[in-house]
Amino acid sequence: MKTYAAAFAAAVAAGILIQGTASGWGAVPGTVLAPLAAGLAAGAAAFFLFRSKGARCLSRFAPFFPFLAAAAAAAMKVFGRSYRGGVFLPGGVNPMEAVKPLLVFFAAEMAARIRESPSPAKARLQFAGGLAVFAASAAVLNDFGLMAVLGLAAMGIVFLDSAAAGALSAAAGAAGGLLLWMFPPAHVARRIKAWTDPFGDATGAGWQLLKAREVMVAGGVFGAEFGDGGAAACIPVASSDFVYAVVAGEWGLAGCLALLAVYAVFAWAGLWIAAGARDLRSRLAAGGFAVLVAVQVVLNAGGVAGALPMTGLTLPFASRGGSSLAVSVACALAAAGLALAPGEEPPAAEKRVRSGKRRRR
Amino acid sequence: MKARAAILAALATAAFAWIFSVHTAAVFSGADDMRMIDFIRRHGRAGAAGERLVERGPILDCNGATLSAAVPGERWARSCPLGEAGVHPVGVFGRNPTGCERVLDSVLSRPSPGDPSSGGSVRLSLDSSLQRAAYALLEGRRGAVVAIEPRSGRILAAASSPGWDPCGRPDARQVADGCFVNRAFDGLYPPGSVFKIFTAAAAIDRGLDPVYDCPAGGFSPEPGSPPVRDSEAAAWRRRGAVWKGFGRIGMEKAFAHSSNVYFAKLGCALGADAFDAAAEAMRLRGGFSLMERGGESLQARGAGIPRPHGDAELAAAAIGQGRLQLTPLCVALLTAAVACDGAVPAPTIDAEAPPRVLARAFKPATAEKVRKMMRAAAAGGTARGCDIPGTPVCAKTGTAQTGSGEDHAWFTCFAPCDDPAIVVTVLVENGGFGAKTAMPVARELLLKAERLGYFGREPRGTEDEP
Repeated sequence: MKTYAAAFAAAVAAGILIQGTASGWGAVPGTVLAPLAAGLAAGAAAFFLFRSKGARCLSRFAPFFPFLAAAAAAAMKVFGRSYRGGVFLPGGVNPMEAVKPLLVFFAAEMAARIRESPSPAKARLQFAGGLAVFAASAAVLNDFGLMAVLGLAAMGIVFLDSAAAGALSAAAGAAGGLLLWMFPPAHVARRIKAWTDPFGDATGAGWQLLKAREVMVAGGVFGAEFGDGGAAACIPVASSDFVYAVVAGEWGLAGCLALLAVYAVFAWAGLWIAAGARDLRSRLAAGGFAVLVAVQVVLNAGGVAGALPMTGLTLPFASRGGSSLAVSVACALAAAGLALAPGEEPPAAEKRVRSGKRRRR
Repeated sequence: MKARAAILAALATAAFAWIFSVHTAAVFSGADDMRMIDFIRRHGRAGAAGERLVERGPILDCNGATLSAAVPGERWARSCPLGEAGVHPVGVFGRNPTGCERVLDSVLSRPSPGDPSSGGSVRLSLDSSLQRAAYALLEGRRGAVVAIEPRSGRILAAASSPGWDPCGRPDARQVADGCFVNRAFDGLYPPGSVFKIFTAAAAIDRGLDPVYDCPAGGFSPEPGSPPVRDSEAAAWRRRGAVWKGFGRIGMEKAFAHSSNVYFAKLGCALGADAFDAAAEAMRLRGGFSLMERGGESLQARGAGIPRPHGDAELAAAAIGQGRLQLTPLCVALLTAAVACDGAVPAPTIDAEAPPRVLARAFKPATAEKVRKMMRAAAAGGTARGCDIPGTPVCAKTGTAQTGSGEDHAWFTCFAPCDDPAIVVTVLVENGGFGAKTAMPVARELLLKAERLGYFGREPRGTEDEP
C-alpha cells in the first residue's frame, strides 16, 4: 500500500509539473488544483465507503450502470458542444469520464455473479448485454478510444477473475478489433491513415502527430530549449492528449522513461494491492482501476509516440481536463479503499459456529 | 489471482517498454528521415530541428573553397562567404531552401558515410573568385554575368544583381529591383545584336554569304512596315550629322559594325523554315537541368525563339528584336557553340558531372567563319577595346530595344580566340550601349580569369557525342 500511495503521489505531482509546463503556471489553480481537490474529496469519500463496505455495497446498483452510461451518452449527444477537439457539456464537464468507473464496478459485479451463480448463463448474458450498452454509448459519440479503453478494462477484469474467461474475452476483443480495422468508420479510418502515413496529409490529418514528432526528435535524450511557450507551443492543443510529447520535448527520453516508470509502479502496486483484497468484488474492481490507468497510458503514449493510432484519450493525472483528472484521482483512492475492504459476509451457519451459538434442538 | 495480476502488470510494463522503444527509434532516426527533416524545415519552429544529430554539409566551389557551410552550434544558420554575390546560384537555406541548397538537400542533410555526425559535401563548378568579381563589377545595377568553360559547359560564374544577404532579408530597394529573380538563368530579355551570331551562323551553314546594299533609309521587309535602320542613323542624327549608310557590304563588315539593315535582309533571305530549323538545332528552347540530386534538379529557363511569321518578323528576329527572349545563359551557350566548332555544350553547375554536348548546331567551318567575324568586331568593330594584353578576344556587342526606357546592354565574348578557355556574357538592364556599359564588365572579368590562370591551362574534360 505504501508503494501504491507513493506512486500515486508521484503521478499526481508529475501531472502538476507537466500541466504547469504545458499550460503555464497561471492556469494550474483552475485547470489542475481545482479538479484535483474535487477528485480528492470524492476519492476520500469513496475510500472510506469501500474500506468499510467493499464493492458489495454497489452490488444492487451495478447492473444498472450500463444505462447510466447510456444516459450520459445521450446527454452528450443532445447538449454536448465541441471545444478544441473534445466534446463537453455546458460548464466544461465530460460525464463520459465517469463511465469508466461505472464499467469497472459493473464488470466486477457481473464477473462475481457469474462465478457465484449456480446457472451462470443468465449472468453471462447480462454481462454481455451490459458491455454492449457501454460500447454503444461510446460508439454513438464516435468515441472509439473510449470504447477501446472500456473493452480492454473489461477484459482485464475478466482475466483477473479467470484466465480461461480472460483468454476467451481477449479473443472476442481481438475479433472485434479486427472487424473495426477492416471496416473502420470514417473517423477511425482517418486516424488509422494518419498513423500509417502522417506525411500523406502533413498539413491536415497528420499535422498534430508530425508536430509532436518534431518536438520528440528535438527533445532528444535530455530535452531541449524551445523558446517562448516551450515545447507545448509547438504542438496544437498540446496540454490535453499530447502531453507525452511535451514531456519528450522538455525532458527528453529520460523524462519519458521516468514518467512511464511511475505509471508502471502505479500499475504494479495497484494490481498487487487489488490481489490482496479480501472479497472477490473488491479485488476485481480495484484491479480494474489499475488496468484502466495502464490501458489509458498505453493508448495515449502509444498514439503520441507513433506506436498506435491516436485515440483521443487523455494521459491519466497529466492531461489537461478537469473531469479526467477528478475521476482518475477519485478512482485511485477508491481502489485503495477497495483493497482494504473487509471480507465478504460469511453464510449464516458459519456465523453461528463462529459465535458459538448452537441451534436449540 | 496474484499470478494473474502479475501477468497483467508484466503485460503493461512490456507495453510501456515497447512504446518507449518506438519513441527512442523516432528520436534517433529523425536525422535520417528526409520527410521529417523536410516537414521540420517547412513547418518547424526555430530551435526545433530534426537535423540536430547531423551538421549540415558544406557546398564548395571548384577549388574547394566554401560557398556555404554550417555554423557550429547554430542549428539553422549557414555561413555564406560569398554573401549577395552567391545568393542566387548557391541559394538560401531555411524553411524554404532555394538554389543548390534545395537541390542538394538530400546530400547535405544526410549523414556522410565517412563521418555520420556531419552531412555530405558537394562541389560546384562555380569559381568563388570569379563569382565575387562578376557580381562586384555589376555595381548594384540590375543585370547578370555568366562565365562558362565552353568545352565542358561548366558554369564558372553566374552572378545576378541585385542579390541580397542570404543570412538576412532583402531591403525594400532590392525587392523593388526584383532581387529574387535569378537573372543569369531565368531572366528573359530581347538579345539585340548579340543574336546576329545565330543569324550569321544559320546563314553561312546554309551557304548564304551575300553582299547587300545597306542604305541610310533602311530596309522595309514588307510593304508598309516600318524600315529597319542601322543604329548609326540615330547616333549621327544626335550629333547633328547625316548618316549615309554602309553602302554595299558583305557579312564580315556587317557583323563587325553590327549592321541591322544587312542582317534584316539576311534574315528575310534565310526564310522562316531555315530560321526555325536552325533554332531547333541549337536546342536552346527547352530549358536546362544544371544539376540533379535525389530527384531534385536545378533548372534554367530556355530561350523564347518563336517561329517568325512573315518577313517583318523575320527581319526583327534576325537582329535580335521582335518576339525573341533569351537568358544570359542562353547567349553564353550560343557564344560557346562558336568557340567549340558548332557544338553547344550542356551547361552544368555540378563539378562532378561529365562534360556533354547538348547539340551540334552548325558545321565547324561555319563556326570558324563566325569566329573570324567576332574577332574582327573586337579588333576594329563595335567591340573594339575589349582585347586584353596578349590575348585576342572574340566578341559581339548588343544594344536591345526594350520598347520602354533605355535599351538593354549586352556583351558576349570568348578568349583566347584560337583556344577558347572561357566565355563571358554580360547583360546590364537598361544600360544603353553594349560597348559602353557591358563591355567593360566583361573585359575586367576576362582579366580576372587570366590572373586566376584560366588561359593557357590544359583543356578540361572531353566532349561526348550526343
